[in-house]
Amino acid sequence: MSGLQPVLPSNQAPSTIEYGGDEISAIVLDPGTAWIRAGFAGEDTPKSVIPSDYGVLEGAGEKGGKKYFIGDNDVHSIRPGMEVKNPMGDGIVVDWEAATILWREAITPRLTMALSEHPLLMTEPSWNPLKNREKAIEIAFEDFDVPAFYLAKAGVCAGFASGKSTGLVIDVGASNISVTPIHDGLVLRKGCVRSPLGGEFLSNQIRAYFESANIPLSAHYQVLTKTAVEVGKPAEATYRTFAPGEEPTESYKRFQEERVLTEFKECTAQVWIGPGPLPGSNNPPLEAAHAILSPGGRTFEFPDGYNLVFNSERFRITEGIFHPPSMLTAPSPDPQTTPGLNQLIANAMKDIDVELRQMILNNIVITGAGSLLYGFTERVNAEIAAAFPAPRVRVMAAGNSVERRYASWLGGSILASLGAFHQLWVSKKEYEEHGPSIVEKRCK
Amino acid sequence: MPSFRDDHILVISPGSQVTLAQLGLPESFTPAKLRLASRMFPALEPGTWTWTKVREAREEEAEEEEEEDDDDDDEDDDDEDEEDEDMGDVYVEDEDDEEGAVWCMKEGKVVDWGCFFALLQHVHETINPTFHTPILMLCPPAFTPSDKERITQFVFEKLKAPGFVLMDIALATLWAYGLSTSTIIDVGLEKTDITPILDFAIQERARETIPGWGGESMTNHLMKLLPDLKYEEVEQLKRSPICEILHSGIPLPNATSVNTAIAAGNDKMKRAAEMDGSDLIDEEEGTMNVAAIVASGKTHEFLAKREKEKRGEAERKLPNRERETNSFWVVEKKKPGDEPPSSSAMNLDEPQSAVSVSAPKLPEEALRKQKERERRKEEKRAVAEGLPKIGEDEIRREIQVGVERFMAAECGVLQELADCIWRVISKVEDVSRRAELWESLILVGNGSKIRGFKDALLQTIQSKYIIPPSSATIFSSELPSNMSTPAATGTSTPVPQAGPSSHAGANPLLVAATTSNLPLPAMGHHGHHSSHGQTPTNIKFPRAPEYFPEWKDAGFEEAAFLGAQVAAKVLFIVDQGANGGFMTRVEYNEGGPAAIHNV
Repeated sequence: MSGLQPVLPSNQAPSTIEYGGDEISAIVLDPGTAWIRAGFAGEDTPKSVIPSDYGVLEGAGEKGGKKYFIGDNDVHSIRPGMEVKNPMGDGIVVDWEAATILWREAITPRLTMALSEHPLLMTEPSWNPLKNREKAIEIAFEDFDVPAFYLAKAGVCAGFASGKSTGLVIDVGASNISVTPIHDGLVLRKGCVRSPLGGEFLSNQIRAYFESANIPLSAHYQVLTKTAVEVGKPAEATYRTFAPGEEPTESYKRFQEERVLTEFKECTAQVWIGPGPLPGSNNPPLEAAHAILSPGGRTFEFPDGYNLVFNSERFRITEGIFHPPSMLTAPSPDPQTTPGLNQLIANAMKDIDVELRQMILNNIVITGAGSLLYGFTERVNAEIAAAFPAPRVRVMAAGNSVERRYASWLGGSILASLGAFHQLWVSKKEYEEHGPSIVEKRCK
Repeated sequence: MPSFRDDHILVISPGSQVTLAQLGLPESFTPAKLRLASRMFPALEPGTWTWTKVREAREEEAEEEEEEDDDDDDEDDDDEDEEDEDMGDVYVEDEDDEEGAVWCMKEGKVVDWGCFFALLQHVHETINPTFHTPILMLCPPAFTPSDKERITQFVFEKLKAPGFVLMDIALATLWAYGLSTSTIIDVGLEKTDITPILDFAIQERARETIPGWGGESMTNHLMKLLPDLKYEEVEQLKRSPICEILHSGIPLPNATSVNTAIAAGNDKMKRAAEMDGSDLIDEEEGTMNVAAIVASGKTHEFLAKREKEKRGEAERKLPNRERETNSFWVVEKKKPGDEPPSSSAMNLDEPQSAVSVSAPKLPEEALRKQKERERRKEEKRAVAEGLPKIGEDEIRREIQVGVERFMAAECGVLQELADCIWRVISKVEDVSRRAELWESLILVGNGSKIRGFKDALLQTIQSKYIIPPSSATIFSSELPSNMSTPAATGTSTPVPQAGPSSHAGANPLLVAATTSNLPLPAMGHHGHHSSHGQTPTNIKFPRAPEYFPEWKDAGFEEAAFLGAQVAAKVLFIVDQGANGGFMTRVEYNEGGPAAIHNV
């Protein structure tokens, strides 16, 4: 570049030709049950990732209204009476008021102050009902005042992120595991299936296990300092004390515990890699497998210093994902009627045209943060190989955990930065002419 | 084609409080030559700004150019809440707090663009570089892409720079330290930024800014503790060497101040008897801890422990941390019409202010203490290591404070930072790299300048978050998990060399310190559980670079500026733009402000 640069005598002012135009990049928003991801189209990772969980204090806002606490800092601060809530249910928006605030917060001020200057691309799950889609476009144009909008299917985006426009996207999210067959960038609606066996399910499994084994679950906010204790010994920690009436709410406690469970999932939980379902606990093969897999088990230390070694339990808590009948007792879902992941895949494939089947089976994409569970992809591989014994079945999972977590966002980023995509935007003018129903016509 | 020269490079680092700038890169990099308060005054004409005052914090600093003439016109423009009424003429260490000034940045964000650009313009004019001077500017994390574009546009169109690059302040810090992976903790005035960086790539998603927690929160807390001191006095107390954060995990309850007074009094009597002994022996337990300790009846144990702790720093002159009270010097601007200051003026001032400070706290002891103080003061004056330099028109005043000086961080800033660091690192997606981030925490920012801050922070994190090697696995040979499941997810399975295992046991002492009740054999294998185990098992602050003597003296709180110099050298001189390390005017003309994002 410097070769082109004219050398200026140091006493002469540079030329005054100035650049006049302005290029605006689109913003991509991928709201999920656990995290909301936002960033600029064309970039490889979202710049702003905030938790979907938010804190709310009744009567503390302006005119006695609600006061929202959004973002990692705010939602984690201890405030008496603050409830931690989540605007999503089953992967779709339930609480629109909070969702709107959260989305805005994800974009401003981290990305831009001027929402009205950037086109907005949002992702949605394939089971998003019409009402929600119309509401989303309404918020984009009425509340955010964006110049252009598009609503893309998360499954399609996740496929794009792996470079596939045809394939089977297995997305392990917080609320659901969804299996979405796509063909030429379009969702095959018939084959879309999902099962509530995502991250939240796993958390509940871990909780259920902790309860049954009398393992006390503590959260970081409760602890001031901890001391190293021998394994299995009661914790010796200094706890934070709260004045009566100043205690954080139950939902806050649960939210904080969830963070510890996340760490547990990341560091300790593991998926039995098969083949076949996890054997019973007293089964010798299992013990033998342990010896190979992880001698001595894995230790997990709780925030208060209490630590334990986990052996077969780490497999047991995840087994429900593949084999619901073996899930630990939890209030929901029903172990008998809920399809496990292998069943889901089978269900999805059943409804797909025979001529497409081969192509789709050749491009199975695993994505979503839940799929980062240790051993998850191997198990899926094994299950699929058992269910579809064909040579041309290929399972792909991004090796990079960033790509895996943000696949739908990344696909949206790719999509919105494509030159050919420009004609797909729904402009503000079109919206004003046709109203929210335009979303159904334009955003397939 | 060498297009830029060492001495024709302008480095600017805007901050909420101070803006640093320097023209030219010296042989050995030095701290910024130009330090300006980040504020301007609105001029008579709306929309224009003037720079009216500058204070000399260093010898080389820019000279004063204009005289104050519009102070009265801009009173109503006051947007600073911490200003004092009579501060129009009061100058403090290296910031000016003046009525009517508009501070263009707040919490790392530009709040007044007109003012900000005027400031840049002023910096540029003060330095007055040639047209051939490229600019490297540091930008705080709060700058949005459109902010950056605005700045780019300004730099090219108004300042006519031939080359420009915006560099993230955390990245610059990383350059200064010469590392590639690190967690940067930048404690600013009113905010703290925590930035994890992996292989020079900023982890934007995990990066976090804590608004409202920074140096200012400690000042405010001290203000609350010392209601008799003025803001700028507290500010100077915070900067003085006697203000320390003690290494102690014991929570200090506020309700015990009276007990403390009594306990401290007891100690003092004892000490008075030994007064003629060595300084080491006559230390008193002058902190709030005493109350807790005395109350729990473990005085002797505690004393013994403390004694041991202190052995290491026996060499230190008179240990500040063992004194009940200590004094510091306040530099104040002479008020117009005041008598010229003399040493007697100082003496007159002291007792009065001392009483006023300690009176509300220890009324029953005030007299005795005062005598004590007199004695100690003489002693100290002899030591008088660090009397602040004063200008022609300034006076020095000594103020005495009690144990409050140790309590600056009790507002919870350490806890808050520790929690946030944990959250930030836990948000980094790559589980196997978290250990590396924990092992390389860099603490910068002037808010962290306060003595003992780093140690206290380290201790806070360790006491709450560190995962000691488990007693269950320490003897068994836990294999790295990637060996057992070769075709694992790929994400949780790092290449063995890349993983933290290469650092295993790098600092056995630290691990040992945290696992005092455990035996330490085979530490090399068990410094970490395994590559996707829990973190942190080891927390470290890397050493600051040592080859810049000027920086060593100034401290590394502003290391970002050093990094910026290094970067400027590399980008403009060594690299010459071959790798597109900066944006040239040609590129600007072609691509517009948005092209800055490609750099």
